[in-house]
Amino acid sequence: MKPNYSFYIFLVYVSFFSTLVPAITGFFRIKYLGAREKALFYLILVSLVSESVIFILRELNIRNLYVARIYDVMEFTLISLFYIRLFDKSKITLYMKILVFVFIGIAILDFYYNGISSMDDIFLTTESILFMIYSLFAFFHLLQNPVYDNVLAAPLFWFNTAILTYFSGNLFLFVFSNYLENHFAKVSPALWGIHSLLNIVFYFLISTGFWKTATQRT
Amino acid sequence: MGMLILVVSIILFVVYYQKKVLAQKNNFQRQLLSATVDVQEKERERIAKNVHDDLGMKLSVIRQGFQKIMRNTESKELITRVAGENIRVIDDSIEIVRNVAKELFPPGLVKLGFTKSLAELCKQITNAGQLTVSFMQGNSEIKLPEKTGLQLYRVTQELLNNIIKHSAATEVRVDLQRNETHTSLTITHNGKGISSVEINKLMNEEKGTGLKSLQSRAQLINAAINYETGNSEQKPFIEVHIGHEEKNH
Repeated sequence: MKPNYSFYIFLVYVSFFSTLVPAITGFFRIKYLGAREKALFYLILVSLVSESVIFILRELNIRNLYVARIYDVMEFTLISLFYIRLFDKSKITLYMKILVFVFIGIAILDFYYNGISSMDDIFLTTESILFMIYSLFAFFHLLQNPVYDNVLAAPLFWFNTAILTYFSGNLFLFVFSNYLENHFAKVSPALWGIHSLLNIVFYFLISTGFWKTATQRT
Repeated sequence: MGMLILVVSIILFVVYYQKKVLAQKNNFQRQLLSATVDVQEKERERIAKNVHDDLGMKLSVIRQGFQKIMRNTESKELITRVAGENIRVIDDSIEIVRNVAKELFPPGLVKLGFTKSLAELCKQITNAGQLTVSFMQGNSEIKLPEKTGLQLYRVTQELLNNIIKHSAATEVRVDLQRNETHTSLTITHNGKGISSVEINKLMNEEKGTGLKSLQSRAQLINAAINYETGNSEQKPFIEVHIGHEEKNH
C-alpha cells in the first residue's frame, strides 16, 4: 500500500504561507525594530522570497535545491548578525564575525564535496550546533541583564526560543539528510514534514518577538 | 523526547528569570528603605545638633543672665542691661526655633497649597543669590492631595539642591503642568546635565543615598523621575511625572 504523504504535503504548504505571518507582523512593527531585530526581519524577507521561488520551481518540476543552499548561507549570515548586534560590546563578536567568513568557506567546500543536487548537511549541522550555542549564550545574557519585569514581554526571549527550537529540532534531520534521502526514501517525507512543522513554529515565535518590540524597554 | 526536554528547559528558564527579577526588586526596595532611614537619621542628627549647639547655647546665656540678676537684685542698671540682652537672645532663639520648624515642615504648604509653596521656594532660592529660579504653571490651579504635594515639594527641593551643588547652573526654570492623565513637573537648567543611566549608576554606589531617598519619595506618590543631559537643541532637564491615580480635592 502506498504511504499517504498528503498530511506532510499539507504541512509544507502551511509552512510556506506561515512565512507571511512574521513578514506582515515585522512590517507593522518596523518603526520599533532596532538594528538586531532588523537582521531577523531581513531574514524573514529573504525566507519569503526563497520559499516562493522554491515553491514555484517545485510546481514546475524544476530542481530547486540550489535556492535552498543560497538561502542557508544568507540565513547563517543574518542570524549571526542578530547575535553580533546582541553581544555588541563583548569580545565574542570578533569570533562570530570570523566564523561568518569561515562558514561561507565551508559552504563552498560543501558544494564541491556533496554537489549541488544534495543537501548541504555539513554546513547545516555545524550551523545548527553553532546557533544552539549562540542562543544559550543569549538566554544567559537575558538572565544576567534582567531589564524586563516579565521575560515573556522581552522580544529577545521569543527570537531566541525560535532559533533554539528550530535548530535543535532540525539537527537530527540536517545530520542525516543525505543518508535518509538515499536509503530511507519512505521515511524522508515524514521527517521533512517535521521540518515544515518546525518552520511553522519558528515563524510564529519570530512573529511574537516582532509583536513584542512595541513594548520593549531599551 | 528532545523537544520535550527543550520545552521543559524553557519553562524552567522563565521561572528562574521571574524569581531573579523578584529578588532584584525586593533588594532594591530594601536599599531604598535603608536610604530613606539613613537620610531621616542624618536629618534628625543635623536638627538635633542645631538645636543643641545654637538653641542650647542661647538658653544657657539666658539662664546665666537670670542667675546674675538673682545674685544682684538691688542694681536696677544691671537688671535693665541683662534683661535687654536676654530679650535679644530670646528673639534669636525664637528665630532658631522658627527655622528648625520650617525645615521640618514648611508651614505654608498646608496654608498656601503646593503650587504657592513651590513658587515661594523658587523665590527664596533666587533671593539667596545662588541662582535665578523661575516658576511657571499651567493655566488652571493645580491642586494635589496633601501627601502628594508634600512629597513632590520635597522632591523638588532635593532636585534643586542637587542642581545648585553639582550642575554649576545659573538659571533654572520650574514648570508645573497638568492634563487629564498626569501632572508633570519639569526642571530645566543651563548647567551640566546628567542622564538616567548615570543616576542609576550613582544610586548603586555608597554616595547614592540621597538619590535613593529621592527615588523612595517618588515611589510613594507613584511618580517617575526622568533625567536628560540635553544637547545643542535642548537644555538639560529633569521631569517628575505623576499619573493620576488619586482623586484631587
